[in-house]
Amino acid sequence: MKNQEHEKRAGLGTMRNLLLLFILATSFLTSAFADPLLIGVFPRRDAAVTAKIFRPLSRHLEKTLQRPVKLEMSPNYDIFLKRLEERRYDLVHFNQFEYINAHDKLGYDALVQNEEFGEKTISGAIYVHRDSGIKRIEQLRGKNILFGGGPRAMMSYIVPIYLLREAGLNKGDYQESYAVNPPNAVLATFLKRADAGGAGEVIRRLPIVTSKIDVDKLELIAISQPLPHLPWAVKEEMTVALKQRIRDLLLGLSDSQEGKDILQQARLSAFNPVADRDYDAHREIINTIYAH
Amino acid sequence: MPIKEDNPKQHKIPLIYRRSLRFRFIFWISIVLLFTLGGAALYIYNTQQDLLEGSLRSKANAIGRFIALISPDAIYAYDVTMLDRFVKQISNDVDVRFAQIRSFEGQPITTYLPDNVNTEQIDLWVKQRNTLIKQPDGITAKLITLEFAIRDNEEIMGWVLVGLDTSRMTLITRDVLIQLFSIYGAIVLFLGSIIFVIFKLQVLHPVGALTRGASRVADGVLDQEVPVYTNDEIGHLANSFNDMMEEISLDREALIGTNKRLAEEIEHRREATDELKKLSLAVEQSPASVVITDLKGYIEYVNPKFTEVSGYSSHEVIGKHTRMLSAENKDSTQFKGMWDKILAGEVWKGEFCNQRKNGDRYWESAVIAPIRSENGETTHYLAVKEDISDRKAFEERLLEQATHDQLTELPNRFLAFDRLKQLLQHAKRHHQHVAVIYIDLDNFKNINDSMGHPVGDQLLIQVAKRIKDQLRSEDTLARLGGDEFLALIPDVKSISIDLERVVTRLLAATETPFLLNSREVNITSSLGIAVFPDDGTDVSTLMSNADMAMYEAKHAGRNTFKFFTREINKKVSERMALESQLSHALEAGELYPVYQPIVRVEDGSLIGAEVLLRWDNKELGIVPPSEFIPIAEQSGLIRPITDWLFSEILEHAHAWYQRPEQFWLSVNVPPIYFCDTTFNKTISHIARQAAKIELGLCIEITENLLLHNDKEVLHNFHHLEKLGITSAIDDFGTGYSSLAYVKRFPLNHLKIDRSFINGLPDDTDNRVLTETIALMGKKLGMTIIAEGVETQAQASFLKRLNVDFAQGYYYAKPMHRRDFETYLSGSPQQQVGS
Repeated sequence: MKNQEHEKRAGLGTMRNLLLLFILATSFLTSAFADPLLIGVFPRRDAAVTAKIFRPLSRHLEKTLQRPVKLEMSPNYDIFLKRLEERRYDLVHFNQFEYINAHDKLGYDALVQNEEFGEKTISGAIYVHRDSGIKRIEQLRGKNILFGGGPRAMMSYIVPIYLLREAGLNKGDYQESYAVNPPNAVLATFLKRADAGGAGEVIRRLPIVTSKIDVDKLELIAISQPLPHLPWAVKEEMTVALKQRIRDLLLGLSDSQEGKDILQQARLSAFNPVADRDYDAHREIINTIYAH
Repeated sequence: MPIKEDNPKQHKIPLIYRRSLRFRFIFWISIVLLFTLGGAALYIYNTQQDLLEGSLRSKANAIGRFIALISPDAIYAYDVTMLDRFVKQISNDVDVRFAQIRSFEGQPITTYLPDNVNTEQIDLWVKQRNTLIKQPDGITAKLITLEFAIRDNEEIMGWVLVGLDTSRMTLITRDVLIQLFSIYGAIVLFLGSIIFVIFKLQVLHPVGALTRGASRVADGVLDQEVPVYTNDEIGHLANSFNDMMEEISLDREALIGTNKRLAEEIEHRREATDELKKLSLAVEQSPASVVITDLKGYIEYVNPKFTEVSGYSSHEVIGKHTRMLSAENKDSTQFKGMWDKILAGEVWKGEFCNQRKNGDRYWESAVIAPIRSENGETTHYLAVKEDISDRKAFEERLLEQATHDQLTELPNRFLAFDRLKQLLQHAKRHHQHVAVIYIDLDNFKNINDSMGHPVGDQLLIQVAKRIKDQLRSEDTLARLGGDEFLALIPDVKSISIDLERVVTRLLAATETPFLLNSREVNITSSLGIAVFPDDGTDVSTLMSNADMAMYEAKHAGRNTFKFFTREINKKVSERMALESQLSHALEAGELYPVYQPIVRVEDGSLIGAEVLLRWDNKELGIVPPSEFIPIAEQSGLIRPITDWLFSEILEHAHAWYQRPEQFWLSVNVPPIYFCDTTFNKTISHIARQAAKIELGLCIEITENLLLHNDKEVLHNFHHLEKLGITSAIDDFGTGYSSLAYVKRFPLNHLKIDRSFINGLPDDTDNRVLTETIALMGKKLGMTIIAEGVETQAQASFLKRLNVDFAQGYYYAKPMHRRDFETYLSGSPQQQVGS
């Protein structure tokens, strides 16, 4: 009798363990086999750099979210846009212009924004070589202006164009050239490959620029108002919890050394909260440019 | 083995070759290795330089082209960062000094530049293309600037500039070179060491063993072989060396003998060479004339002495025949004999009478010898000649001297005998008589001694002249020596007449006084004549017989001549026999003195004794003094006999203790001895001996001594006086002296001859003579001694005459020593020691 009872107890224990194991396994497997959180970053930088700077972040998220997080680089802007349009990314970082489009058309919500070099905002500017003799933006008429980005580049094109428009220079009053990225626009301007360069104001303070040229030989003949920084957005259908979670994680990076390291690696000083409405100024600038 | 440092020849050998084999091996191996490996290193260096530069260029080309290839997009995209990365990437290459991308217009479109490089520098380098730059570390390197076009299809968009810095390459090359040299040096050292060790083991060690072996061989050690280590060439060499050493050892013995003979031969040849040199010099400098002729007598060589002697220079005689020199008959026997001898290959010696160039004749002593070639054939004749003119003259003088008496210039005895021989031969052939006259001057010695030899010589010269003047030209007068002359009278026709006439003249020639040094000197001669063939047929017989005849003439009283007769021969023979016996009498002890006492006439007391000599010959018996005393005087034996007599009587007298006071012995001294120059010395010695024994001496001399009348005799008498020796005239009255002579000499005693005593007192004449003599003697202060007192009457007579002393049989006969000793002891008067 005792033996039978003992055997029964043993059997129950075993089943309990097995169940617990199953649950854990299921939970693991659920987690393991859950869809990875796909992070997309617009090709502000080349893919290798992008991957390098943001992979720690993605790992952190993966670790903290306990879910796969995949950082996907796009080799070029077109592919990024294509993937964006496919709403491939769960979490995406892009410029303001792309956010606005993504928000308006694709249903992405701004979650956080960059803080770079301790600055929560960013401005666009037009650079000239100090030796060029160009002191005013108006002198850019008929000049070659090298923009740091294409028509979708917020700080390197759209805002500088806005500055030109504001100065009464319309399309055709100047020549447009496009550098591969804003620092190159500044560098090329320094190298006098263009009469002026359009890029974010912060570009001149970037190490990649300061390490190469004497930025004192550059002059900003036009600077825009400070605008919210580049955002990070998530799909609107992302669960609030997850949004919140992600948001908290991103915002909380500056609270830990590990987070600071991740931020530093990402070439960010912090993430700051942001709402969609913060980008209304951008909308205005965009509408000004592209409305005409 | 290095050459000894003190070898003067070493200075001619380069320094490197003076070192040891070991050093030279190491040195040359090192040189070779250094040069070869160094050359290789240098080649490698240069090659590497080229390769490195080429590689550099290739790399730069590759990179530059590649960058140029990939730059267009970045250029188009204004991708400065990309382009910077490109250039940075290029610049990161260690060999790239700079890289820059420029626009087509040449404007830089990259911002990256390496440190210490600016765009202006790049502009300069681009212009210079290849330039040298000095690096901070001091290395000067070449900067190669390359340009690569960035093309977009055919359009050049820009340039990729690459500046290649060859400093690394240079450094690499330098380091490689250093490493290379270090490695090569280590290799050289290692290889050299290995090679040296191998060389040392394989070569030096065996060579050293060989060297030591050779040293041992040099030291004469031939029994220690060189060890053979290998079977290679050196081993074979060692074996060969050992074999050689064995052979050397075997040959050594033979070589020792050979060497010895060789050394002797060498020495002989050296001596011969020296001799030859000497001979050559000797010939040239010879004090003798040397003439070399051909086989026919034609002169080929003459030495300087020949020229000096003959007056002919060499060129005057060379080619001429030797007969041109001769002053004698060219075909003379001598020449013929000479030629016969030398043609026969013999050496000829002889004398020539040659003629000098000036015509003077001179004598030469020559030795002519054939000169033979190596095969023994006579090729020349060698004449060595000596001018003997002086010698000839000297010889003639010598001959003259040898055959002539220097003083009188008469032929001497040798020439005389030679001429006599020739005369005898001639006389024999022609049946003629030859007279040999022996002439002896009487008492010449006294004159010579008393007047001196120069005077004696002058006398002889004058005597010789006088005698010669008495002879014919064909006669020969020779001086035999001393005072002896020999006259040879050939072809005597009549002995009794002619010869006696000659002899008389010769005798008269010496009778006339000679004037010598302003003094007249009287001399006579005694002549002995022997006639060939009557008195002898050969030289010695004739001479002997003539001598005997002369001797007889002497004996006959001198100043006379005697022809040799048999009686003379007999007498002379007897006399010579006696003389011969007498000459041994002293040695034989046959002579002895006897003493006849001399007494005072007044009282008959003994005052002295006369010493009389007696001779008792074992063959002849007692020989009367009258016979042997003259012989002794003539033969000269009287001197030693007299000396002996003095010595004998002194010895006897020494033992006579009972001599009366002032006892003296009276000794007869012959005139010839008294006048002898040694007499004074002898008598002085005798006087000292006599004085020691307190013995008085008296010298009795004959009356004829006083006839000498010369200073020497007087001097001798005075000498006797000084010595305390008395003198007495013996046999006074029988000689030829006169009172004048007696007065001149310091005589002590006068002894009246026995002939005057005999017959006293009855013989009137004798009485008168005796009285006269006694009176004269007293008047002259002399004591009178009467001899031969035999009777009382005579003694009484003498006593009445106051004659001082007397001797004779009346008082005592002459007695032997011992008898006289007894007599002395029994003497009634004062006796010494009684």
